[in-house]
Amino acid sequence: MPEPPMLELRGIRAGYGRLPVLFDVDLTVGAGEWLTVVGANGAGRSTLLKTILGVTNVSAGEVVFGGQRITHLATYDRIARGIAMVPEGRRIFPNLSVKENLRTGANTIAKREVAGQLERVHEVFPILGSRSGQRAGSLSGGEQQMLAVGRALMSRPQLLLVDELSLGLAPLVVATLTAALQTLCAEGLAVIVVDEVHVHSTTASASRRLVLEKGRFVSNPAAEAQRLTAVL
Amino acid sequence: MTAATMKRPAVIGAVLAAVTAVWLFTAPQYWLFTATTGLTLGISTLGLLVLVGWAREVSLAQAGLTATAIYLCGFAMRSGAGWHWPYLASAAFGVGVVVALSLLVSLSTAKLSGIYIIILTLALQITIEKTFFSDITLVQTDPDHTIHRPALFGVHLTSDRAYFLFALAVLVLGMVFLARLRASRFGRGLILAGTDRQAAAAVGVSPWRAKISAFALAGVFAGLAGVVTAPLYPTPPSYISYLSINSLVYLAIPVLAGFRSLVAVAVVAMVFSVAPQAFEHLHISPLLLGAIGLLSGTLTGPTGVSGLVLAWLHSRRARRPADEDRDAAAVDLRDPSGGDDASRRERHARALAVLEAYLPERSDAREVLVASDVSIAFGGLQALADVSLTVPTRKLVGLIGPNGAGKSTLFDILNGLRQPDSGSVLLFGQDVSQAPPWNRAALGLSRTFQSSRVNLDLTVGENLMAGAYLMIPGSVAEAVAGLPRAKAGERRAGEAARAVAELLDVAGDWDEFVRNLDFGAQRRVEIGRSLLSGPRLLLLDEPAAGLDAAEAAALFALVRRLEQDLGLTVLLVEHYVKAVLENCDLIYVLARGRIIAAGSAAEIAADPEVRAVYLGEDYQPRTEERVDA
Amino acid sequence: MLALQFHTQLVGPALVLGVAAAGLYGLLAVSLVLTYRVSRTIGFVHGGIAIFAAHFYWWLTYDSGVRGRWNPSAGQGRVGQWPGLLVVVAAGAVIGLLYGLTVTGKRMGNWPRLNLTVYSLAWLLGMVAVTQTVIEPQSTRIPSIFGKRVYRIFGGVITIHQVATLLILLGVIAVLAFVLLRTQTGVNIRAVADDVEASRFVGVPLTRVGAGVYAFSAGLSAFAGALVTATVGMLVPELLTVFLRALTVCVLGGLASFSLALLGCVLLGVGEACLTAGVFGPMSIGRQEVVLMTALFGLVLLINRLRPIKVLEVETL
Repeated sequence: MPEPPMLELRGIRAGYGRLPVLFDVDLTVGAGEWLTVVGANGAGRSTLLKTILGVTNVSAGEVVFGGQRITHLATYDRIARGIAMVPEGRRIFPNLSVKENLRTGANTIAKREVAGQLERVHEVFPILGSRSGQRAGSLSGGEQQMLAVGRALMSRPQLLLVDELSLGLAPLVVATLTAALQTLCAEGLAVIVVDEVHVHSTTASASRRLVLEKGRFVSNPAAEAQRLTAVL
Repeated sequence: MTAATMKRPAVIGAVLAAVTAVWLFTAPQYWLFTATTGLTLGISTLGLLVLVGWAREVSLAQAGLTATAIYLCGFAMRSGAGWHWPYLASAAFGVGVVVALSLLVSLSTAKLSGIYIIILTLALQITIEKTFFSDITLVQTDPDHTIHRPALFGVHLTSDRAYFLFALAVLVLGMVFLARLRASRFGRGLILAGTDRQAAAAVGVSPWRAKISAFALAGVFAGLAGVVTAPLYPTPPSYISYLSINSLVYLAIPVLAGFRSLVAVAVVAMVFSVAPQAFEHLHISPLLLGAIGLLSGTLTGPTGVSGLVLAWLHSRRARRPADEDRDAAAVDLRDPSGGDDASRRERHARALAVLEAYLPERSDAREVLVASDVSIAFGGLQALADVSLTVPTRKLVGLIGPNGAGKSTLFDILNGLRQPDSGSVLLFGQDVSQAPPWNRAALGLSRTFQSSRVNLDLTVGENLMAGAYLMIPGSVAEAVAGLPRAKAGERRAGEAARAVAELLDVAGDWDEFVRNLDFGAQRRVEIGRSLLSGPRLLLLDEPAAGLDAAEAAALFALVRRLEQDLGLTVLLVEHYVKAVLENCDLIYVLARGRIIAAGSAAEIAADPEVRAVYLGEDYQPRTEERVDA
Repeated sequence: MLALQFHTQLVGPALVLGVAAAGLYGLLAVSLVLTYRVSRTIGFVHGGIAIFAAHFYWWLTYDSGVRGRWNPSAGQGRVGQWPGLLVVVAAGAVIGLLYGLTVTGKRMGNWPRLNLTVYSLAWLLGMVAVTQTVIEPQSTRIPSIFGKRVYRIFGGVITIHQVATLLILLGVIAVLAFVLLRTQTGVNIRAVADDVEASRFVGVPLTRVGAGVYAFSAGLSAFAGALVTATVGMLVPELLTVFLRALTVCVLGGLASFSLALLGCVLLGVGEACLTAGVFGPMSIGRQEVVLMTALFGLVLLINRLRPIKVLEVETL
């Protein structure tokens, strides 16, 4: 058996307040793998990512990353260990410049490494380099998404969580983003993208696809591919 | 208010009355004064309860306003430098000025963010300190011109006991008034506006009017407290208990007591007055009590200490095992044919009949809603560009498209929550492009939201009844006095609410707090609330979000039935494409701010651009007969 | 009664006085805008810290320990003036740090803004309550830490206290500008001001940033509270008036803009000076207050009329 999976979720039950959103969720992701999780609005997609990142509390189950239990570890520490997130709706900081936005993602790495990471992000998304001093709020939707991804990459993650990669973006821009992510995957980055059901461009690049329905993974993902568009 | 919730305060009230009567005839004089002060504090903070507890606005001027009424009323009553008016006229003057000041503050900042109003009330308090409190003629008097206790309706209030009873009577009357208000559509509307302005606007309540009314009410009660205090002492009291820091103590009382209970406010006010005196050796400053009150209030939430007590009592009542019944209810919802439960179908049929009688007849225009060339841009993004949409009467229209396409923004514009940069909206043939949401609701438009906007601290029944604001006739006076027109309206609305609860399968949870229900039930409560506003057109924003495929199908079946049996027109946003394609008569597809396709289900499913952008190239619609209820 | 006169010869001195007086308001304004930007709630706690600082400073540097008597000359209290000031600012910063830690913790981070505002008011009330229970307020002013020199400029008389306060304010602004624009901490602070939730998602150390901002702002407020004892004194109603004025001018920029708040401070200082100096004719204190408040709020409402609300907002405070 090859090396243990990078991320493991075991029997996760999580949610807000008294009622859970995720029930008994098991998941494994290995290095270099691209996993797409699709589901309807309200099925628990964002909650799944937030649980991995530590923003949402877990009431039962375990989150294991790199062989270590991180179930109750704070978000900041999880980012320091190599998990990063691109939030839903991009959520870049509109009043900061592009470069400053990138720097907000670099809080968990050493100061002397920041310049090097900036270089690397500029290699992946050259447009960010050319617009380095520009106010982020004035970027186009696609550029903002690239900035959001670049910001997440600044912390040198091993696992990247992406919430709705293609929200409101033109197909061409989505293609650029997925190409960039695929290159990174080939270099060892694990990627989990969650998206709504009908967006096929991102799921096409996935090595694996899961369906989330009302807080649970549907048991037979292969057969789901057929049932999916029919049911929904 | 149900019988159960009305009984409790009545019992407490009776007990308190008995204790008070005994104490009244045995207590020394300074205790009578302290207790009377406690009563006036209670009157003033009842007004603050309406503002802070119901309308969720903060005022830092209540102490100053109370003092204003004390000094002005006292001045008007006095001979010498004063005007020597009779008590009632002086009282009216005092209350009038205080209400005018409250209105001045609220009218100027009603539409602005809350930070302005809170700072303006602090400014009002400090201005009062620098004007009224610095005026010698108001705050002092010479021994020849003291204030005499008045005689009201033939009763002389010269004795301290009699005055105590007078103050108590005013407090009790105030509580009764507020209890009646709370049980009427005005109280419910105020509370809804405090919880969620957008939901209130969608149901027909103007949040600005609600805010201004709340401030006016707070002013009335501050004025009443002041004019009851004025004749208590022969000379005006020192202003040292009415400074800005004391306004914070006033604020602590309803915050600590919680918004659900009027009695709790009176009790806490009495405690705040009596404790520093009773425990004099401990040097308990009222400021310290206030700080503890504010702190506890933030920790317990809006329901306050009384909420904790009520919740504890509520949990001790015998309850049916929750999960079993919920599963049973879910099964019912998914199986509209009723199975062996013929009585259930009969109940549903009756509920539909009640609801149909409740909903008003509106103009039968051929096109209920027409949006023309609506465009809006914000944050540097063109959110909608030249969107045109027509909703024909008595049809189920679907709006689909990827996330971020602008569907909720479009709903905001149709509903009136947002103004477009260009374009127009016609509702039942009338141009409503400039009309606020509550006026559109009055014309027959009702809307639900993507995230459930129900009040978690209220029961299902209370949430549903809040939707009936537009459908119950009668002014405030009629509602509070319980006159026939208002009473009949409330009864009708109550029956309709129960009918709606039956149809949406939440009837069993009528007295349950909404925060204890599962997500799907909460959404159904919100749909129910919007039905009670008497709509002819329903805008539903992702009603099936969070439900699984089977539940979503059941919900669609229900919506279809409402549309057919009640003659409603429905425009809904959904991601369950199969359900939309099966049930909707007309479908619009919105992507990146533009309508890219419009037509029947077959046309949409075959449209190449829709397939490219949303459905996917390999989409195969399954041919199934329509699921009709 | 409503007629306003205008004495031009008094304008010059009033202007000078006004700019000089703006220093104190500026310190409070900076502190309020900073915490508002990070938390989107009004920092009423700073009022409490300023009041506490005023009392504590008096108690440290002037209270001779004998009830009812205080010694007017410097250095007769428990500690000297400068060490006293340092202790007071440090104490204020510690209180701010505690407040910041509670408010930016995960549990309270999700509270609705009304709750947070009431929480802030609770601290204001609590601090006044505790302070007044332990330290008895005095109705006199304390000589300035900077001495008694006065300067005459354009016919206006300003004290070294005012000049020093103004210079300190300018220094604080310079330091703040540097930190905000050129350091990682500043980037983090501005990110939190833009979007708190996203900041958490990307790894900004929220608790550190929040607590740090509150500690710094509280230190500033404490500093202002100690300095105000020389001009206004220690009495709570007067101190709250000063706090309210600072709050009002911050609102000119919606509490989110430093430059508009500072502009407001200057306008406030000048307005106040004009009124007290009699530029508009002799006026009772009450009338001055009404005129000042009306003018300030009129300006606030005017500025906001120019920014029409296009959408019915969901959250209020």
